[in-house]
Amino acid sequence: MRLLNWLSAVFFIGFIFTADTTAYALFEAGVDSYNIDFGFMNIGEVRELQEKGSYHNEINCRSDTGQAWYLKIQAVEPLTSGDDRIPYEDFKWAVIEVIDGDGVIYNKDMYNVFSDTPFLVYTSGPSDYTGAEVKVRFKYSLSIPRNQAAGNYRAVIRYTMTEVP
Amino acid sequence: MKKSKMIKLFFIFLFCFVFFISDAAAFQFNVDPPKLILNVKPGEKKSGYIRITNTSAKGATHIKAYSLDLIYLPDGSNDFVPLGSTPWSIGSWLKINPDEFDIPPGGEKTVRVQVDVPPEAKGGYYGVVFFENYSPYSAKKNQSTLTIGVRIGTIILVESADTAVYEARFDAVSVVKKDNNYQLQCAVQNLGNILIRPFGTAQISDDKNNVVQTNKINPNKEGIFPRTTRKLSMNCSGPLKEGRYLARVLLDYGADTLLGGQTSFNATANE
Repeated sequence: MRLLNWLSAVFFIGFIFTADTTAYALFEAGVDSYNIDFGFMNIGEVRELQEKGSYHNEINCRSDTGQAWYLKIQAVEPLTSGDDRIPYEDFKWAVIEVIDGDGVIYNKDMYNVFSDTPFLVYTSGPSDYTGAEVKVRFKYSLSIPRNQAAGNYRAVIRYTMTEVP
Repeated sequence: MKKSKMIKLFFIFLFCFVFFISDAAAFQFNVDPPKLILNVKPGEKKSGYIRITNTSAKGATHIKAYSLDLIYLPDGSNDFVPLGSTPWSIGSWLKINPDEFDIPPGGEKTVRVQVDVPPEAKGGYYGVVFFENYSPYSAKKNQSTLTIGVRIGTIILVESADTAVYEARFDAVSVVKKDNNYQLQCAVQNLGNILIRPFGTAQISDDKNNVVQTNKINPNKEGIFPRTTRKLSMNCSGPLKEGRYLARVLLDYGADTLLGGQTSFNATANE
């Protein structure tokens, strides 16, 4: 009877140990705000979006896989209203800062023209593989060309996070 | 009375905390694993599983899953091209189920990725499965509004060890001066049919054959796709006195033998 109790205790501890050994990889990305809205703009106007002081929104990335990862940005399509389009060169993004990351920031503090090709923003550094949250902060700029037709212009911005193969 | 006021204030504070502070992330999600290796023999089927978790504090996440081909860019990152664009494309062999779904906050969904490798396949095939979530369109009049999409990729590596051919060579090994520093550059050509990750060291010796520097090459083990060439660069770890040097590069790329190359160069005084 004592042996049975002992065996069931071992089984129970073993079960707990097995249940606790399931490890999940942390590979996470998110955005702090849905809102990228230039609002009403006049022809010829240039507007910067940086509502949170120096930046407008923040992409949060986390990984504990021990592998290098990177973040890219693109505009899937130019700002479009019906058949009218605002050219890509009038629509720009910039990385202002990266919080809690020790990787490489590309073109920091510089405005870059949006493109449908993903543009490299950030490559992780050694301390970015251990599960700490890396916050990449962006601001945006839009200028309305002189001959642009009025309308509701819309576009899709995509942030991509992947490891290298 | 005072106590009940305090309790009220506490709940107002709690309400503000939950609805404003916890709203810090509009949405976020986790993809596990970010890299999936499937060892499959030609003519076989194999499945892998990817777990998507909605780690947002509130709001369901609508995820779309799709696959693309991968290529390397000179900066070491990848571009994502339509399926069938590369010789190493997994293409139509790959099936994702389900490919569109909702996940409540804190919830998760397991997605099955199945590859059906044809009998004539040899070596390695590569691609990425993306999981993408979009914010909803806002419908304000006469305004320029953007929809935000976040996508996280799981790199898919389908390899058959039985048919893998490891073969590589140096196209070029050189040392160039850049901003008063020396940079070692080696172009490695993958002649095999499988992704290789060459890594190793470059020893720099002076004209008396004394090793003055040992530098790591490709420590992150970045890959080179089959039948492509990639330039691996690294800065020398310190300054070099004027003189003639020999750089010897030795790389392990997964084959039985190592890949070796060398080049001599002159170090000159800084400008």
